Amino acid sequence: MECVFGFVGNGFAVVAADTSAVHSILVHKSNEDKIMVLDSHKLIAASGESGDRVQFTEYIQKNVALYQFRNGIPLTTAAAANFTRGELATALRKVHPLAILVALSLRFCVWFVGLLVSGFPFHMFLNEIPVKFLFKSLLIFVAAMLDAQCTYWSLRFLDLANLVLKFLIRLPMHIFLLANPYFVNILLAGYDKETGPSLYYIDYIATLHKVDKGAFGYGSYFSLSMMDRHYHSGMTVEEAIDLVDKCIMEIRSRLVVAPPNFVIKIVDKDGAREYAWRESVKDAAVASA
Amino acid sequence: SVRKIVSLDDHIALACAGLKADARVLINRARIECQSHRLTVEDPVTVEYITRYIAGLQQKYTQSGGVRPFGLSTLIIGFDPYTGVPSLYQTDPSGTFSAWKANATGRNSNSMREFLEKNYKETSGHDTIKLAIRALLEVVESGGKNIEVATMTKEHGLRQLEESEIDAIVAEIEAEKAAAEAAKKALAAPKET
Repeated sequence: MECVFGFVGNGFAVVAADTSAVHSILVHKSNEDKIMVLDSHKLIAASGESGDRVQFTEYIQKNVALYQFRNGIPLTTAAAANFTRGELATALRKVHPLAILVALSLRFCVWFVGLLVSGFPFHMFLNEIPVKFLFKSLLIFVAAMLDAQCTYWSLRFLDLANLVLKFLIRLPMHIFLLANPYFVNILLAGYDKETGPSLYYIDYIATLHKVDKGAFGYGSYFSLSMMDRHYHSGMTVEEAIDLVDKCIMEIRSRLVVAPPNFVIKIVDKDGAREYAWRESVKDAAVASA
Repeated sequence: SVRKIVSLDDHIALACAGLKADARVLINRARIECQSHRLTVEDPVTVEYITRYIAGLQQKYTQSGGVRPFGLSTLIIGFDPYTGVPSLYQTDPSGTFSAWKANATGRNSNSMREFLEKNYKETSGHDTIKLAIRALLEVVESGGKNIEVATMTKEHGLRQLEESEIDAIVAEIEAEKAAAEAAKKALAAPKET
């Protein structure tokens, strides 16, 4: 399970992320860098679906760079965080137009066929005028009912599926039926000259919180508890790294599928940079025959 | 004052002559293309690529209905991201582009180009800046207020020179010119007598 956590110190912000790339039971690699340098003074630590993670963070990075070229000054951390959240929010509710077209045309086809069948001139086979009239009106009634039923059931099905999934699956995955969210959770750490260091917690559901400490994943149960116990505002870099190490220790010892390696990155007035790696499993070189 | 030299990416800069409003549109598209290229192929653009893109854009608007061409020609400079070789390209409203060792564009560009043809030598650093300013002084009133100079290096990217720096170099050039004049006079005088 992917672990990302971070917090703000005295004139700096630090984020740590695990470095395992996992696919079901297979570990692809254990030195995957999940903390991207967004620009000179910003870090994005992302966890979640790896395709989405890379795609989304690179997209944000390039758009932040474009802003800088267009306007001559870099984005503030708050602005970058709000932009990121906005992109996640848009993707959350945006339905592919083709999907709407397919759904609508399907409904139209069913309705048309229903009308055709129900509108078949059965009354042709009757010769008595009053019976013929009654039968014809019955047919029209049946056609209308069919149309109404089509509408009703198609909507009910969507609602029903929504309801079922909402209770069966822990996370609100029923949104799948409506749109295509990016499954990436982000901690955005940055340093601005005017406002100092800041950390933003951005959920895949486009939650945005400015926080002093934050964490994602199963590891968050352990790292948040450790940070609640030991964190105080205005920590020095040494104290901060000590706390990060404490959190990593807890994750390693208490999480059943604990990732072995972590990377720690820091951002302060001198910029965003890699601070250290904490490796307990190294990719060993292949022994020669 | 209006900035005529803009950076498109960390390693590419553009200077233009013509309709500034059209320039804004073109520069915006070029900047987006630079980032888009980085996103899709994970490589910075080469100078030739972005020049081809800008020229292609300018050409497109000469072959459609209801549009007019972009009224500007551009000079694009940059370093190749891998070989580190610097290049200079020029585009014009028709959409043609070509590579140059030295060039000028805009009003009185012909006289400046002639000057460069006579005096161009592959120099570096301060000498190159002086050559550029000398070419500009042929057609422009001297003074830091009327001249905008920017240099691009591989390490530091685009750097706009300060007005004071430009004034200093202009003064240097004026002094050299005066010295040359004086030397010429000294040579001519003995002949007269």
